[in-house]
Amino acid sequence: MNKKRLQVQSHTHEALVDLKLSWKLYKSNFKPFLSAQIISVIIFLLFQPQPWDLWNVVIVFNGGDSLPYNPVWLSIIASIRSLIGIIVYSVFFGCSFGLSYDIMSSGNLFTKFKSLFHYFRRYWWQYILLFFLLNFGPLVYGGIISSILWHPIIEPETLPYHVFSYATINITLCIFNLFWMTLFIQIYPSLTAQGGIKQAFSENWRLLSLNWKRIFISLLFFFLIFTVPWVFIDIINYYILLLIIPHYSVLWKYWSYTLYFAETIITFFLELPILTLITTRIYNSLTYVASEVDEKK
Amino acid sequence: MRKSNSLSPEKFNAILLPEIKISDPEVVSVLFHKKKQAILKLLMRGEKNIMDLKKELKMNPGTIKRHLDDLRVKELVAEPRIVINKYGIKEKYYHATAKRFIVHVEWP
Repeated sequence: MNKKRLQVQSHTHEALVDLKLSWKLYKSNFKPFLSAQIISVIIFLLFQPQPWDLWNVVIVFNGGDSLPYNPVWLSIIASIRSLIGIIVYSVFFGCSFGLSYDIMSSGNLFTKFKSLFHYFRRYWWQYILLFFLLNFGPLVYGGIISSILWHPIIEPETLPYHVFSYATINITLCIFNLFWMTLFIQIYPSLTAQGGIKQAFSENWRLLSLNWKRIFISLLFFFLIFTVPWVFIDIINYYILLLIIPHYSVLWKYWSYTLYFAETIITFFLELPILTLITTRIYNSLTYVASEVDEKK
Repeated sequence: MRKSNSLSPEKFNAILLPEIKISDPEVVSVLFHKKKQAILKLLMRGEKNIMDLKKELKMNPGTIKRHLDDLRVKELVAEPRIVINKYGIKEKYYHATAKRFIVHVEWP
């Protein structure tokens, strides 16, 4: 019992060190991380449907209600375009793990913007694969739980149920995400260290089987600081806006947009870079022995 | 945190050669580069990593790395000693190859 408690205490201490150290290293290397995120977000947005897209212009010139050609094809094209945006973003997200590797594992304690392109060229398809793997579970779970709990029509008598289902979907999705991430996140730093996707997968399982508590507790702290507050803010926001302010009023719209914008900014420019640093630090602390290495590079 | 990982002065003195004579003009040109000299001077006094050098020289770490690579190629700086600190971060510690460099160039 005592041994278990000591183990948890030690993991908790390590998790706190993960957070502090990642924040410190992010502050001293924020430029390459921010550049990576800014580029990826811009590319991602460019691939999303735009107001100046040809079909939107055609709709405006056509009186705003009909198109001279088949809109099914347009939605297919829009979906493909969005997918390309996500794919490009996924590669840049993976590259951030490369930058973290530069800082924590290359021995030089810093990274530079140029490294981004090195990792982009070297691991682009592996990063795409991992990104889809990392999001596949939560996407499927989110789809299933929403189809079970979500009711599309909002009526006064069903409002409490809507708030309840919204909260349940978001909270359980967050918990599911935590578990899913624990299972797969160590593949990223392992990929940079091992150089191959197969080796990265097998190392991930090895690390996970021996140290799942260490990985889980660190990610739990990360989630408690960066994800959980947003989940609750969203739920409270939904509750207030749905029950107090009339749905789809102008105020509702602007407030929700502002909140969504703030959440997006924090997620892309703070949360995700810190996640890559925390993950790399977990990987290092599990794979390296804290002692001098005789081999010289 | 970093200071504790660098070598003690006694150990450091023991690994440095007393002097190295340089007669290759290419090495001389590297040695007489101002910024490289500043880096080398610090590395003759003690082991340092790039962040230590950055603090003291107020230079970009990327530039320091480039100069260090040049100095290593010309064997003015030794191969770095790799240390993994208590936080699980790899650190490379650099030091000069000698306490003194004597330049001997004849031309033509």
